[in-house]
Amino acid sequence: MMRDAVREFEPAPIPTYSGMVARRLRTNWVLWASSLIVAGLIGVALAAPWVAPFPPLQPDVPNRLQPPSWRHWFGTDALGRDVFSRVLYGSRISLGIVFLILGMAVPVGTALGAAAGYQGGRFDALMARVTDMFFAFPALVLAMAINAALGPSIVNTTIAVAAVWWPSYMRLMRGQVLAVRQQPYVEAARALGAGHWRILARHILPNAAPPLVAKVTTDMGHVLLTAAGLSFIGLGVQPPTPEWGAMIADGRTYMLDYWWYATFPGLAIAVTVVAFAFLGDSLQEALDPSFNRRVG
Amino acid sequence: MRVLRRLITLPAVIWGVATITFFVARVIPADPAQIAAGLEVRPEQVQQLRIKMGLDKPLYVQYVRYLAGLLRGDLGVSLRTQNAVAADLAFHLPATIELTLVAMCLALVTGIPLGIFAAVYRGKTTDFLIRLTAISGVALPVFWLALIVQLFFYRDLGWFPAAGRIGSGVLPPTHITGLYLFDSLLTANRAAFASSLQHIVLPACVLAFGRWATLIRMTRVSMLDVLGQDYIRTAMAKGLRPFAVLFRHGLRNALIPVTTMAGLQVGYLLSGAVLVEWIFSWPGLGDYAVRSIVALDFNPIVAVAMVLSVIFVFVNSLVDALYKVLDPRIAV
Amino acid sequence: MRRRSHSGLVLVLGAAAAVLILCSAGLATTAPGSDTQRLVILVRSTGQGGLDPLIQVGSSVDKFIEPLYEGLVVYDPGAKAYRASLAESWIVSPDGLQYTFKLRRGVRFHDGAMLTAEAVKGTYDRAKRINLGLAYLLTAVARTDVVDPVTVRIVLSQPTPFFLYTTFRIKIISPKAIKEHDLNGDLAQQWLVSNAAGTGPFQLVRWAPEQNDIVFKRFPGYWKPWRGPHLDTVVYNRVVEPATQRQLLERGDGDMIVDQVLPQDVPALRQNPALRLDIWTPARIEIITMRSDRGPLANRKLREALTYAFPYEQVLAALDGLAGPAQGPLPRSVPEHDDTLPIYKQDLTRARRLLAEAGYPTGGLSLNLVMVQALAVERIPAELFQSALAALNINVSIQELTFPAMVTKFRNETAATDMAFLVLDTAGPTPDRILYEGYHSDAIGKIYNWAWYTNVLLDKVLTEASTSIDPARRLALYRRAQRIIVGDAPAIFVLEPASIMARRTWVKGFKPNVMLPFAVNLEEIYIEGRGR
Repeated sequence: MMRDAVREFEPAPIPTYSGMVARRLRTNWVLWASSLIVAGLIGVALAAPWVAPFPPLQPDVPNRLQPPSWRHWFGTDALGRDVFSRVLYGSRISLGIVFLILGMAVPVGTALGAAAGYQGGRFDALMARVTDMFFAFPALVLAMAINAALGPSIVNTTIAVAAVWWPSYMRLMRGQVLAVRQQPYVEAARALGAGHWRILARHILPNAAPPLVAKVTTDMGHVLLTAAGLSFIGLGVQPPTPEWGAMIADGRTYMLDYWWYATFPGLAIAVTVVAFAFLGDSLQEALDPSFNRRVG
Repeated sequence: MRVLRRLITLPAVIWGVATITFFVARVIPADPAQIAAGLEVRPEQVQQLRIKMGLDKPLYVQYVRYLAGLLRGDLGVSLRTQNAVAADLAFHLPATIELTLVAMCLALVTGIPLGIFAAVYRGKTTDFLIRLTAISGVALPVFWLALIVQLFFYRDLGWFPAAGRIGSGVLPPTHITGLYLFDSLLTANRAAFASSLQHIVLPACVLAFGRWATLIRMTRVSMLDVLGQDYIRTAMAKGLRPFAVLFRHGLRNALIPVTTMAGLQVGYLLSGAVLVEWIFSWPGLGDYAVRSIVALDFNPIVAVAMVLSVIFVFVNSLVDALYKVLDPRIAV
Repeated sequence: MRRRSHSGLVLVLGAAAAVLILCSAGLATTAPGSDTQRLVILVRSTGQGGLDPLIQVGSSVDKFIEPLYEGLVVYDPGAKAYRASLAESWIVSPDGLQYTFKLRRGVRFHDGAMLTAEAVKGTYDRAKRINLGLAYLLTAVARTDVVDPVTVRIVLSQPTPFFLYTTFRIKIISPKAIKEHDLNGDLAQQWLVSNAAGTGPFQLVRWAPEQNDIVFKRFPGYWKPWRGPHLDTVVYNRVVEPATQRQLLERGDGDMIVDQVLPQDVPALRQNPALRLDIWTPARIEIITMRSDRGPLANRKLREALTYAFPYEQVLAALDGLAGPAQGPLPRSVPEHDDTLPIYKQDLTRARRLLAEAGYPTGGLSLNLVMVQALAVERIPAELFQSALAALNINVSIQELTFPAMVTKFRNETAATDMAFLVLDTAGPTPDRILYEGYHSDAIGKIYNWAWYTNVLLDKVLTEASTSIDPARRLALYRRAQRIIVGDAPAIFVLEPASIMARRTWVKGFKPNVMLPFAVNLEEIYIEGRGR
């Protein structure tokens, strides 16, 4: 909100915005590298059944707890399953959960935020209180309570995380709408008799899109971590599903003697989060209309 | 004004959170009387206890009773620890607050300079490396990191203890605030101070590392903002080095991300500390909450959710007020 | 200018580093002023909250209650017999309805009160009145009489051959404490949560199970004379994570881990010459209950097929020999165990044949298996079972719940699902705790008959056995009961898990406890040759 307020003091977007964005996109190697990794991850997730060298669920007790080797790149787990294959398959589950959560939280949050910012007045005040409450509510407690009430399952965990995640989108969107609503050109459009929907679609959404895209991208990593954290304490996927957080939880007690068991799923999470974070940051810089004045 | 308005709505938020948690907790298909009586007992015993606990009454009666208890400051009794929840919280909450504060200070002291560096060297390798380190702090699974840190600094080097808040055989300081470091300073208890300081180092460092990501990122962005300002350009045109300029003119602006982070992270830090508390056997609120949930122990769950919410609202009101002081342009 | 700002940064970082190094300096803080040869630091996770020996039941508190309190008698697993404890001797009337105990003279409680017949009566009456926890063992007790100051008589309403077990489990509490700390007629329940007033060899100094240490010290007035080397102070250090517990032991900051050591840690601990592992098989058995009153598993042939489909050998191999095969519903260390029963092996041909007979020639059904969250000893068998059944085209979905949630689920007729992982223990030399609580139809919806299994004949045999005072007849009845259960296959008898404890080699005198696996014989333990 603070940043939006600051933005008010800056000139309206310069006309060659798209040209500038394109130029920035071309020259930003961090952006390229991170999008490459993200694309690779999604590709792996889609192609897991064809690339994984071993079936992810098939135990092989005589070969249990083998260190990494040519045969098992990431070693094997307590039941002799190939950790590499499980990490590959795990990308489907872990990324799938992330898309599902944001798929619920983002539309709800942005719609409510746009409505609150545009409508203002009582509705806005009410939403502010509601988001306060949801913000204040500890995600972990809510997720645990929901899981305890409905039984642990991935669906329930997804719902719980989405339930605490949408308010941040609502705030972002509300701030964007508030910032744009006061702009002279929006006032002008309104004076010219443009309808609410038209103003929203033509003036407000295009302005709000860049920070939204950047935030969604950055959030991917955070959501992944939250979901993995819940899986880690046993709320989430049920065995033998190879979700990264659950794999770390499994491997946790083996860390001292069998480091690979928990480390590789952990690295998978780390790489994914870092890639999404850099992608989000780079996108934000590239898309930010007020950035052109800066040094560098 | 907004700050005051916000504080006025605090009771409403508390009521809302209490209500949600109360009903969510009652949906849990477990019988608190059974849990309180022990899992081995006979149904007659359970029924007897159910009546004693008032669980035979309709849900709305239980709800009204619960709210009435809240007004009196009575949070009920924990079935698991058999203590009053308020007494449990009086121990576990300060433990978490202490850990959080120390971690926050560590993060600030190290994170802000790094954020400034990153801004100054924007686009250079230094910038990339700092950001990579920062993001790793949150991206690496915290339990993994905690365990590695523990193995290295405790098992291999023996520099710091691995578990708990204070050494075996060292008596905790007299309870004043519940923050061991603070209390032992107040009572000039050197043994307790040294021991609790040793114990807090590893968990606080791990937590602080996790806080870097947001902090460095925000410092960097706001410094980039500052770097673009005319007065900075002028200063630099006068031949001053960027660091000097930034430390002189930019730090005030750096306080804004710090404040924002404080607001955002307090809520997160408390619940985010669970895994760190677990690995380092830190008897904090997260640890308490997880154990209560595993034991399906209602009263502590509701109480923890409420306490966290209150802290969150309170800190955020404070943050709003600080914004006003720091940057009068912001219309809060 | 530049120099100054840099030096500021360096100063701040330097100060932080200095603080860190400073506090690393004085690390070696063990208990001040106590002789380390007489101090033992036991590493433990968080247990249950309270210490009331009546209300708190289970392996997580046994280890604290046993050194503090004593019952009238004590069970000696080695001799497989009860020995005198607070009672010097006892007489059972021929009809098995009256137990008369002669109390030991000169026994003092930790708070200075003397042990008298009144004290025993006070404890038993308190248990009846509070009616929680172990009070269920006293359902057959009609009344407790004080015959004279050192003689107490317990009168039963029906013959109870295992009544000595009750007098072992019911710990005598100081009457003075019950009276002085009574709060609104709660018979000192509130006080006994965090205090203790027993007669045991150790007395409580500090009880803060969730916060930091639990501290016991030797009770100098203990009725058994202290001879030879022994401990003065016992500190239970709270360490939650098994990996951390192990590090403490490896560095010698902890002397012994009083929780179960994980099987995966065993190979490394075994190689460490400074450590000693104790591995033994307590009276515990792991089973998978199969819901036999409704759903697909109501079909006995199908249940039987599953008992042959279970990958026993694979599971034992995966647990590195830290578990033994189960033989019937009772663990081997229970005296009534029938060692002529079959020990199952995986036999997929037979399983397929039974499946066909049950009406599932090509498999094609889905079953649900509930287990306790994140318990490796259950997860490995569960996942291997899941995979073995997948080969028979039977889909098993595993659900992990917390134990209290599981208990609630399987005691509810509509909520209980197909299969549940369950660990049963005896906590004493009585087969009833497993046979009655796990398989009698009275235990349906109440205790651990999660299979919802009913066999009228079995009920009759078990009821007769539990009231029969003729040992030979009783033995025959219990053997028969085991065979009936095996024939009906209401459960898969998975394995007998080992108890694993680890300690420094300088901790001497530890004796594994077969009945209460985590209770440590503190009074016999001593330290010899501690390094520092």
